[in-house]
Amino acid sequence: MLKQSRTISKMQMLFSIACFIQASMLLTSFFTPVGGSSSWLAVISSYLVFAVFTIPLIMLIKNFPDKNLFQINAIVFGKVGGKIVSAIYLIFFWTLSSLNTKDIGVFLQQTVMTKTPTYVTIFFLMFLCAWATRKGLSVVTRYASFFFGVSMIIMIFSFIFSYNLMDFSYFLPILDIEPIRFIQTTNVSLNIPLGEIIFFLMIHPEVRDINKNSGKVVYIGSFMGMLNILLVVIHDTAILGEAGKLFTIPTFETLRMISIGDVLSRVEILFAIMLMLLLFFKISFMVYVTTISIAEILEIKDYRRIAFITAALVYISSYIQFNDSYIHAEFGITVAPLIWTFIEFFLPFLTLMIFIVKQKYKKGSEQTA
Amino acid sequence: MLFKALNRHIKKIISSKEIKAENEWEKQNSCPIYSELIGVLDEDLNKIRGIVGTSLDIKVTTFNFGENSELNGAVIFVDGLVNQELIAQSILQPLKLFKGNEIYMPSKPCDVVEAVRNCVICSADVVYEESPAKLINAFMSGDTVFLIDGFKRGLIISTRGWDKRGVTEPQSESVIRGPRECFTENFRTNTALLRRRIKSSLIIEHMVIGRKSQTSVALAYVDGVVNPEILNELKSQLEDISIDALIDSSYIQSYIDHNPFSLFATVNYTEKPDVASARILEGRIAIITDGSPFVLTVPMLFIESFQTAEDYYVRPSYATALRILRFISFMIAIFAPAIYISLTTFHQELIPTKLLFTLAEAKEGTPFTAFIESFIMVFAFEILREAGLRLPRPVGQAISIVGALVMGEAAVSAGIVGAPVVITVAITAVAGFVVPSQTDVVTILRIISMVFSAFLGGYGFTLVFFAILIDLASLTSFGVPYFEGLIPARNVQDSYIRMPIWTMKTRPKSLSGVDDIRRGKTKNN
Repeated sequence: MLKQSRTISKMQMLFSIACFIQASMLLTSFFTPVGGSSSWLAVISSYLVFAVFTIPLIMLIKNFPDKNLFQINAIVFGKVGGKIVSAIYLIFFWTLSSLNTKDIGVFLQQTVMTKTPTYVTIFFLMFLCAWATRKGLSVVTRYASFFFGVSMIIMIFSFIFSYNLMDFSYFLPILDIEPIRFIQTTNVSLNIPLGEIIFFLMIHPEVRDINKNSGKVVYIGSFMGMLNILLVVIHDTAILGEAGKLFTIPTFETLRMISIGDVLSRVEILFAIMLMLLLFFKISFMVYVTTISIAEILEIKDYRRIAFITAALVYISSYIQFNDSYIHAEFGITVAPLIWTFIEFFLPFLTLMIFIVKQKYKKGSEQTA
Repeated sequence: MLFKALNRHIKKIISSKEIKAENEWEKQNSCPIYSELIGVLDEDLNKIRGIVGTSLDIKVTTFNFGENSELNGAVIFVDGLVNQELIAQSILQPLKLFKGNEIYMPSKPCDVVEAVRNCVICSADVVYEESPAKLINAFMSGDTVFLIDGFKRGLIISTRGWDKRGVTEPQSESVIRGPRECFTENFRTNTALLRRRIKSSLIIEHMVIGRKSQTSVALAYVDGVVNPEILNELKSQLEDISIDALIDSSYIQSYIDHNPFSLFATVNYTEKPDVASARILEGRIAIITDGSPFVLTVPMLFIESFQTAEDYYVRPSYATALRILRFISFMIAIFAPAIYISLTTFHQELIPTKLLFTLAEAKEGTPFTAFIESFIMVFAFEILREAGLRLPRPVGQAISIVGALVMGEAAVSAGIVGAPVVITVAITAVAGFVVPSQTDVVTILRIISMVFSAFLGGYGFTLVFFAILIDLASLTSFGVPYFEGLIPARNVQDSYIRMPIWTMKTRPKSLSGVDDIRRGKTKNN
């Protein structure tokens, strides 16, 4: 029987990156309370910083087009060192997977399924994520472009429908914020939606011809995702102003206010649908990466055997994490950006540096020999 | 996991049975009569009679011919499958007039068969055959076999002429504009309908499937346009089919469908030659089965369900609007009752206040929950639909009208169900027919999404939507992703939208072979 190709195209990766970043729009509440009306500028500056900080990631992809992050670690840090560094990444992947799972659970309980316990709602979602993981990367990433398109359309419609509610004077005065708070906002925005693309270093060997134009794919994909987050931040600030700080899901609150001729009201359901689509994609992808990471560390040949086990582990750990969404938000504002910076940017940079030094040393010793 | 284990077990049983059947077939084949003709007419005829039995419709006519009637011959044919007038005019009459003075020489007995073929039989399609098995197969297929005493080979003369249905308008793919021809049960008519549309490079390969039915099956494709990998895979799969009788093309479909447990079919079919030709020209392969008016085409993409022949015969803007309408209808057909259940049971706050009061008023006094009400109506609709389809057309129409109008009205008046449920199910039912090739899938998915909505509201049917997406994204048809063409890609000009035909310059990359230029300058010029 002819089998479907297991690799994915660069276009699929591009949309996957966009969709992956876009899915973090639920987490804008992590930095809008700090950045206030200047949050939109912080999002733009975070993208500029990201453009520089991502260079090591792109160089790793270019130098190791057929090796995933764990295999690169093994080459650069040696067998034991590589396992230790990979274990750090694994914990990071697992933690982020369960945190995002927790996020969707909380979101559902706060908005759509108020009376149903989160462990029930998440259970079905995790089952689907594990199923998608078993089907492979091409399945997980195939609907990314569709989700991206749908969410963009919803976002544009929300913008149009709520235009009469917007007050652009909320943005004034521009940059009326302490520099340290602006840096903090930029840092949160940099680490939480953008920096998470480190996940893609686990799948890039499965992308066809990734060594060509990998930078373009990463930058365009992340720009598309960032653009959506920027739209959300501008939308929320223009409608809620400083009051946006009071809500855990400000976008949801802004869309609740839309009413068109008493016929079209309660359009926040559109946002709920959009978030469910995006988070389903993001969690499926995260579960896939976590599963292949576990398989890589434990040297399991067929990762599909542990897809359901990994999903179960993520499900359990999501249940025991942050029972209070305010504590979760506080963690997202203060603790996470510091730890995440180390894992998302510093470790890849260190890996690249060691690789370059090793290469130079190797060349030097070859020349002397 | 359970499905896979079950599948493995079923395959094991099937393969052991297939091996048994193959062995029996080989035993039959190794029978001495199948090896060669004896050359003594009476004995050969007796042997043939022994194999085919004493069926009333098999006619064996012996006669003498030649100048002094010194030659004995026999024609064998199946009454009802042949054109008897043609036999009389092109075989028997010339033989009676044949003197053989000039060409018959007793010293060269072999020449008689050749002479008869070349100078006597008035037919353009006459072939020599030595194998008794092939001779039997020939007259069973409607040809006439002519044997001459003393010769170890016979002649197969094409005299096919059974009663057949003419080329009529299609029943399941009606069009307002465009060709109205439809395939028939006749194999040769179907190949001719394709040949009329693709005169150059169309290859029609013949094979026989079915140990007892010996059904003719043809693969039609355009050389260079078809992907050779897919073609070879299909051929090997068809060759592997071990079945006693092939009654309809759907039998082949079940053998070559790689995802038997998925709700979605990965082998498409059509009864319109123009549709089959268009698919062939995109790089697909058509499978024509004798006795079936439905021609299968592979590989199949999900997007094909939303494309109709008429899309290409009307203006692009209208075709695009229709395609979007079909997508929306497909979603309505699956999710409308589920949305109704979740809105009225879980998310009443999302219903505009005025509508909420109207719904509450309509619902007042009905004893069941929204789910039970919807389920009763959907179930009743499926019964009516099935009855309407199976009954003779005038009665079926009457049943549908009685069911839809009288029963729906009565159910609301009696207070069994609310009027909104009837409206929802009616819209759902009509929407389900907009994409006819997916009607069966829609029915099952509708019920699943209703069950999930009853338990988890809007989140429930969203989960069903995700499950459908995963299933669709994981399906392949002969190695081609089923979702191809639906997600933004290079061939976007013929997916959700239908751009002008001149913009579709290349064939779908995943389907076509070397020659992927459809319009404009080709690689050669």
